[in-house]
Amino acid sequence: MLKKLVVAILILSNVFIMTGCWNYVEVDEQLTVSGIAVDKGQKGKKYHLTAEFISGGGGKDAQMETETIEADGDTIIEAIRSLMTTGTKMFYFGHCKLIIISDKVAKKGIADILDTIIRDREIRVTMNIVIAKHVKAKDILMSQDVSNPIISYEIVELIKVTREYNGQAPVDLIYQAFNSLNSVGSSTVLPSVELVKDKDKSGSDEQSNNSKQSGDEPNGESNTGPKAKEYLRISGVCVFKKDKMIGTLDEKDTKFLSFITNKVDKALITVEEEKRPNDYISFEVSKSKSKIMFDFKENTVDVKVKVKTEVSINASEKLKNYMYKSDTSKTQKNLEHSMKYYMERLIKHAQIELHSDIFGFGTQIHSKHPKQWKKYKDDWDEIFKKMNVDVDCEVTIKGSGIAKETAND
Amino acid sequence: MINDKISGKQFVNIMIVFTMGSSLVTGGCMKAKQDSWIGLLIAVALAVPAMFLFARINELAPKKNIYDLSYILYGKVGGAILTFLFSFFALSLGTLVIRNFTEYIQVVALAETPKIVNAICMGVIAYLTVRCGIEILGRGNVFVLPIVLGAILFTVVLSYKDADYMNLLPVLEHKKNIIECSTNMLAFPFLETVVFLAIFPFVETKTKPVKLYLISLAIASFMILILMIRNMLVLGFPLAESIYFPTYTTTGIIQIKEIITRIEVIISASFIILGLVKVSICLFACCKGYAKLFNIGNYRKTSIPLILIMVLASGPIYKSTMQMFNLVSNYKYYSWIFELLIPIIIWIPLEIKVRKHKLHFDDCEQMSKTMEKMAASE
Repeated sequence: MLKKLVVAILILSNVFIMTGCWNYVEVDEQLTVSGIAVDKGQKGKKYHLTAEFISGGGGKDAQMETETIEADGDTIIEAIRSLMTTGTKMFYFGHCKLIIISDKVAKKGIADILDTIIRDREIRVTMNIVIAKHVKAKDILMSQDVSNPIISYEIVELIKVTREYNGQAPVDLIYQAFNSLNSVGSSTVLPSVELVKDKDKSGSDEQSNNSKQSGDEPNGESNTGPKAKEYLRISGVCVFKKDKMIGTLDEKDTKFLSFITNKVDKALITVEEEKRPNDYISFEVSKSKSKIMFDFKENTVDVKVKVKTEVSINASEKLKNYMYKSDTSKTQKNLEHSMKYYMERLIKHAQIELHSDIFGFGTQIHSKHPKQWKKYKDDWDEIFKKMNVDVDCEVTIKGSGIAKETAND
Repeated sequence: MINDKISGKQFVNIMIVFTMGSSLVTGGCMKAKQDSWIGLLIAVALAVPAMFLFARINELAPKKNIYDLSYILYGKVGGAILTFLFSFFALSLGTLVIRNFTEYIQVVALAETPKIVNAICMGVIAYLTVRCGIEILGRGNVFVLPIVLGAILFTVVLSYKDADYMNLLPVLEHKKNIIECSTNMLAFPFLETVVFLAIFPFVETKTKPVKLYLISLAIASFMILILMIRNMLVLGFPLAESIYFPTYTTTGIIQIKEIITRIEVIISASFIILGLVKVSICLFACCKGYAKLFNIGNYRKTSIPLILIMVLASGPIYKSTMQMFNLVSNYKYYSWIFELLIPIIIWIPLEIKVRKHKLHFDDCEQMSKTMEKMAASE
């Protein structure tokens, strides 16, 4: 009996002896970083890092608030360490979901930034990565958003929504970007985010502020109303060559890039009507499949891109009755024609101006025709510039919403 | 009380865990990039004859472990040398496994915790396992293995969304590396099952040993294969090759809405369990060996010094993580002596002796008695 008691006490005493470990940090002693922004450095350092962290207070009416903090460093890790000199609390990067890189930094190369993130054990490889276009990355992190106080998480959601509903932003997670940066036969594209200034909106904001000052409105929601005169927008993608940014694509081009690389979930295409330049017609894409075929020649490759798309008509201006086959097939021909036009324009743009294989044709050849790839591998850039690309679109119109015909104008 | 008997099923369970153990952590050899899985299949195919070899030795002398056999067949000096070499192999393997797992813990989770602390924890458990007898390992494994397998398969199923089959193409591009890859995986982990030659006498079963060896080889290699292919499908190249612990990273990528995220801790927990079993088996094997070598009646008495050596040597054995992973690929150059050469030089005279005395192969009991007599007469 005594022996059992002693054993029990010894086991229980472990509770007191073996508490915690070397890496023990109290939750209230650490700051949760939600996103970081990388700019060109000041004071002779290479990078200027801005971290957004969540500083939600406790108590009854706990509110999510974010604050930002800045530091410089020659590497990302050095900048993170010097962030810590500004306060006593530890930074925790496990919940960091976004890294924003300014276009100035991106033009100099992002390989070392990605390497830091892959190498660090706390930062997750499923982070999103975006490029700040025309603005400083820290301005984006410091902008204010209406719906979500945490800007980084809001941008992550934005990217997801744009991808799912507009067929944009093909590559987005760090580990995927890491792979495509390191491959010879394809170039990375990363979503870009910009700040849009809206002058009308700021005017109406002032008005609402005035009305608030007059004291007519009861306290409440109006306090948290939008003060922002500028808002965030995902605007196309940035194109990379190796790890350096060399150009951008607008929204429309990005959409057709997704069509070629087979990454469309849902998207909306708007085209002009045939022979009526100011009439537009919109199609909702419900399904799209692309197939890329190669025809190998002596010193070049002929590429044939076949896109099969299912659409339904969303908005149309001209009087048409879609019950008539002739009208439908005309519309279909028109759409096929315009899609082909846009895609070929995009491919020419990539070949002549960007010199960058954003479609991953090289990777496709490498995967499916490894023997031929050996011939092309060494001067793929030259071959890509010269190759003939033929686009073939096949559109099936599956429906026209809930209306048979367009209202008469 | 201490019971040193396990059933055939328990033996198979232990062997599955032993084989999967550290190669699930390191994700197998990825030298051949997209073709690594072919290398794995070749390694399994090459391991089958070796399994027949080990099983044959066990079948010819089911009541004798490899140390007894080497003393019987090669006399006192030869037997002592073989026993020393083989138990040294078990000792070094245990050390490497401890280092492997403490390194894993330090790299992915507890960066500031000294490795020796984790090593001591593992060592204490391995020591207690040997102290309590192999039965506890057998029974525990029957309970733990389905949970571990279930957890790992669960994460594989959840990875479906992130998989891209293009990552496996092109096939057969890195032909030269396939052989290197398969020999690496043959040496580590498939042929490491050689240490079971030291503890087979614990097994009480009527099933043929070869069946036990092959079943566990099949299940373990299947698990390694699907995890390896899953890692390649999700991570793609060059990422899959460039990170140390691909299984852990791949599981971290799984994200089903906001509900199932960050489940890599499941993988870590499973890994630790697998590692503990592997260390315990190595400890059993080398305890038996050194007890035989120094003529100690109760082999458990050697467990404390041996586990201390394992724990303490696991720290300075490598200078860095990079060195550890380099050694994993050079391991085969020294391990074949223990994994193939020793079993062969035990098996050939054993087979000749048994045939010469025209013994019935099935009559194991009688045979081992005869062999004891033979040994006595010599």
